[in-house]
Amino acid sequence: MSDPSATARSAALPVPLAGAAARAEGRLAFAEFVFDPARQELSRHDGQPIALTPKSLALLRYLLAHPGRVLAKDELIGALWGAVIVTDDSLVQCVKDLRGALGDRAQRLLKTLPRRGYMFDVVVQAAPAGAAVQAEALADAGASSARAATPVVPSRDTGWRRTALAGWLLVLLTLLGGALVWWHDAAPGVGIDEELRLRRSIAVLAFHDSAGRAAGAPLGDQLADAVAGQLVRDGTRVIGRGGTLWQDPAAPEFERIGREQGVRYVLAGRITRANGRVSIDTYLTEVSSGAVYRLDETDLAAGVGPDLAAYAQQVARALEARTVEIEVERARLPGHEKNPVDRLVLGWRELDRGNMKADLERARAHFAAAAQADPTSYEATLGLGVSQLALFYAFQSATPARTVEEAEQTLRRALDLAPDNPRTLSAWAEVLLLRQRPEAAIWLWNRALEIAPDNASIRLRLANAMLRQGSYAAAHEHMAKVSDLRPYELRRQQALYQLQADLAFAQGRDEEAYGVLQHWRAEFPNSGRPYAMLAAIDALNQRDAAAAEHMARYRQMLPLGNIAYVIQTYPSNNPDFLAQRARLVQGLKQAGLPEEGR
Amino acid sequence: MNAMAAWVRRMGRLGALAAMVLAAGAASAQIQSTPWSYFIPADIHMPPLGGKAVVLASPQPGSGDVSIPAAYYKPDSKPDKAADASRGAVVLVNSAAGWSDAREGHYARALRSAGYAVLAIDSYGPRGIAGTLTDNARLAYQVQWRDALAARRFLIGNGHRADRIAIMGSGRGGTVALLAADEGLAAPGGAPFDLAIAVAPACLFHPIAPKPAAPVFMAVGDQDAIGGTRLCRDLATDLQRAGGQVVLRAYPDASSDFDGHADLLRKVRETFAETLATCSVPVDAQGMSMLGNRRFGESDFPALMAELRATCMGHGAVAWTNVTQKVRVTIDVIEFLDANFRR
Repeated sequence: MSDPSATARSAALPVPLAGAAARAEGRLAFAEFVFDPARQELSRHDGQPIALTPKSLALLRYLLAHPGRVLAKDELIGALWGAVIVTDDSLVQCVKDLRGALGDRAQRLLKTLPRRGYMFDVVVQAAPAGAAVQAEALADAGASSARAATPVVPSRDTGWRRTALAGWLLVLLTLLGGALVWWHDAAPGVGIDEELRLRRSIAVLAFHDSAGRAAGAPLGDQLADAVAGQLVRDGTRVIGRGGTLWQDPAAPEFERIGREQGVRYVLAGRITRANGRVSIDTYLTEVSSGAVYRLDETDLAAGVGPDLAAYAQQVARALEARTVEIEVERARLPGHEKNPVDRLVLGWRELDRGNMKADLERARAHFAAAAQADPTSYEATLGLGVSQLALFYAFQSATPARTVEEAEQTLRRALDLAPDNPRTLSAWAEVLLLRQRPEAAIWLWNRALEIAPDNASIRLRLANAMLRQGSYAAAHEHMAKVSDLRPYELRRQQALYQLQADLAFAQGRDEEAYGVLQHWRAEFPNSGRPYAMLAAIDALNQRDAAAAEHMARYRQMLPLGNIAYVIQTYPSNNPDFLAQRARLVQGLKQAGLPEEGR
Repeated sequence: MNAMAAWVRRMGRLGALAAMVLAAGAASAQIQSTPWSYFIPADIHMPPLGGKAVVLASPQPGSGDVSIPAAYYKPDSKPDKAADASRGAVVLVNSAAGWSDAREGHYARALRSAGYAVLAIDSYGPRGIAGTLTDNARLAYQVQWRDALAARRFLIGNGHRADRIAIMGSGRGGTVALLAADEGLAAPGGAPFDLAIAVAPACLFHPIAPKPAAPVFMAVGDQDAIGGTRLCRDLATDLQRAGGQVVLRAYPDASSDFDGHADLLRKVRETFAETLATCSVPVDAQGMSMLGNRRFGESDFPALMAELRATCMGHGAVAWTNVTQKVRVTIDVIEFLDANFRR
């Protein structure tokens, strides 16, 4: 399956043209060929063009930037494919294509160095046609030669100067070392987003099948490929099955995988067949600690094949939940307080599990600290924006309008940092909805769902928007798609309760809404939100004592809530929905919710 | 210029001197640090994380109840799913080093992820015992067994099916878990557990006339210097001959501590560890240990240990963690539970 995001990343990858090539940026000559970087064209000296595939072209550009140097396979794969994980086979094919185009079957130009990589053994010069560039390149080259030709005459003081320099260098290094030790826990070596990606890197092994590869049905391979594909689409750094073929799936060597592939996790699975049933169990292992988690268990009846796409999505969701769990446990250990990546992790946990004002404010503080440590971090910026929106929607903001403004500013930055990320689109759509631009918001959510069709959070937000636009059937359809998702998630479940209650109430089914709200209240006793609508429905149905009791509870738990605030959380321009919102407001007023302030 | 050169020379000497002082300081700091701190991770004694802290009342004959700290891990799926309680539950007994996040916490989280409730118990803390690795006589196996029975009652009281409760332990905890394998070993309390799972146990207790009471999974390290492997193979063979269901799996390059903390990958020799690899204690149908002409009950446990020290017990064992085998044994335990409790 194609991966649009991966393709976009690949196309945008900068392939550096260093050294003479970078300086020239004009036509480059090597062997009997000329390469024009501006036109991205390769030709012979006689002008005869040579066709190249895009990847071969990228490879040639990289080789021209690094002539006469040993280039490891990993380096080339990194330069050509970047974040997309491919096997050595892809590089081998690319090299083969380029050699074919250059007529270099004998490896005269592009040499294979066993166990080390490749070397482009040519002299690269500016082609004669680009006189100015050539002059500049030659001038540089001349200067280099002149520098190289200048004899070095050691002075009498050279020895002492070296000693002095070495001494001070040692002092500096020692002090720097101390500072680094102090700083080590405070900041990751790379940016937050990259560190997060490294922390979630994973190798996916072929699933072990108790039946082996009998009957030509490599189910274990198919499952592993489906899961790896899904994870790549989710933006995870994945070493796919091709990179781990040397592993025995029945007894993988986890430490070795981690060491050689540089991954944090290994995903492996077992397929067992007994009594006509097929069981598929998927395990996640953290390489460094040996922590084991079962991600999924699926039992199939005889003769029924798995829905690979649905299975892969299920595993991906479980993986997300488990990796977060592992990271949260680590982030809470002593010594991790200063690490911005750990604070980011804790921020999401507070947001996912928290109901109280303090939880949400802690989340916001964690994200703010992470964003301060790395202002270029998309994850930290998005987290900060989402936590601001969460404070608003949880009726925990003393100045709701200002909180939405802050969220808007923050999410605008997130949009700048990652405009194609479906999570950004979804969060920004939320801002648009609050700004009374529902059509634009719904368009964005649909766009986000095209990129990430299995993202439950986006689907729920879209359902919320459809509901507010009076499209009840569409809202219900989206809600149904997420109601049975595994694993169980607290935040998702609360959002579902809210939507179910809103949907029933908007359609005049007050008692159904009431039942949902009671369920919500029972399952999340720390959440104050269900009490408002409970009180409103009680009041509308003349159950005054119950209305007063529920309203008292609501005001005790969410003292910042008021009529104006509630109206802000139900933006709409649909007359049907507005009529129902007016009914809700009427119930809330009857139950005693103040218009504004306390 | 000469003055400048002299200044440069002086500063050079100063710099070199400062570097030497700093380097010497760094070296002396390393020497003065506690040697063990180099080997032992800071969180080695951290209790299991991620569970709900509960306290059990464990009745002890003649001394009233002892409050046993426990960590309760419920499967994290939908709360309204009745299947959670019916899948099964596991009582996790602590090892000779006491309970820890790296071992008991690890197993608890793994089993919970597979749909099993887990109750990890700490028999040592409330009794003021840091560990029994170097002195097995500090606490009788039967005392830990009674704590496990209290844990089982807790699980049943919390809605878990009484016919789907396993007992599991690693190291000494595994030895305690094996008491559930045979009616005689568990006597006089009976053997109410439905599965026994023992990782790196010392299989010193051996029923004279085996009466298998529950399916058993035994995981032994092929380089376990404390429990050994031979006695476990003998026990497995005898239980199988008596009709018992036993899975014994040996793990390569695995010491007695192969499922321990992931940072303890170096081979460390614990000089004073008591080794039981050649100690076989026959047990009669009443649960009495027989050595020579003597019978040992629970109250005679220190005397039994003294007898073992005089005859078969050794000292000193090399241990290390093997992460790969730790993963394997964890998955094997889950699959053993599945084979008996799933569906």
